[in-house]
Amino acid sequence: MRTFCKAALALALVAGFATATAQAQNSDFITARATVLTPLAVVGDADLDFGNVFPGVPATVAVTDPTAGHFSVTGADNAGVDITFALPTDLVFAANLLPIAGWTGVHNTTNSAAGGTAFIPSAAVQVSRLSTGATPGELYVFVGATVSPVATQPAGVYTAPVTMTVVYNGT
Amino acid sequence: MLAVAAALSLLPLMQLGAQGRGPPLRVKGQQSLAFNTLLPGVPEQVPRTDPARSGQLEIRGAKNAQLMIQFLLPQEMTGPNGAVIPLVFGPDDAGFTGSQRRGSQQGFDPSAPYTAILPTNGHGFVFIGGTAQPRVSQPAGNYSATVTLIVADPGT
Repeated sequence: MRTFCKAALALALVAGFATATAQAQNSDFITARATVLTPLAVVGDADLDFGNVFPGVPATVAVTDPTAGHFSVTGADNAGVDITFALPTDLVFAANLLPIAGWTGVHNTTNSAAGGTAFIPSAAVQVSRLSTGATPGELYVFVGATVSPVATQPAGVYTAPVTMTVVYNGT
Repeated sequence: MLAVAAALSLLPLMQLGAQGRGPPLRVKGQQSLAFNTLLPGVPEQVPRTDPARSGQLEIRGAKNAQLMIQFLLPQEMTGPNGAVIPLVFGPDDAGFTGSQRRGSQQGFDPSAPYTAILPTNGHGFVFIGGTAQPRVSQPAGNYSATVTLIVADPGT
């Protein structure tokens, strides 16, 4: 009987300690969550087209002209964006350069330069905001400039890329 | 008669074990770590002190218990078609307090074990923040991940 009781006591002590150990650790979890809005899309819709240019005669395309450069931006409703440009200093035909400068720009949430916000396109950030309301998440950018051919400018088709970059700024 | 004697000997020992331990150690998630709306390419940081967005878990245990706290942290949130958003947890992105006031937190690194002491009411709170880093090309949609908190009383 003594042997049996000693064994029972030992088992009870083990059970007691095992219960205490099971109570001394616990865990639970929470969820990390987020919703990502629509990524930005930028499309160059129309080239900045000076048409026929005469040697020695500067030519300007205004932002309101039908041949102004045009970009369309789509993204999240009412989102703030930063706009920057990489601009050429010359249009190029073979080894010939046609200087370009005097950049002008307008950004607007409707597809018209009229009533938009004027700015000077450059590498510096221009802050804007996509549309909201009935047609949300839209922005349009119009670009003009002036080319200055020299009197001896060789004939040819001169071109250069105009790059616009748009990113969300978190506002 | 031998079997009855053995059963009776177990009960007082187990009751003694329960009284010596105090209330059971419990952890309960109370609030998600909510980055809410993210814009592609724009990182978003949630401070551990943010009342609406920081994660919150409640710990209940014995008064003055010394606890070992350990997070299991996800490296990313997963969204539509397996797209992921990297998550970063900095050295001050977790906090512990014996009150529910976020301003009284003691900050700690959620990537390492942390020792905390429950106050006399046996009640503590753990908060966690972090940074989500969506890519410029991040697909739109809902993303989520699990943040697990393990709490142990090493004094057992």
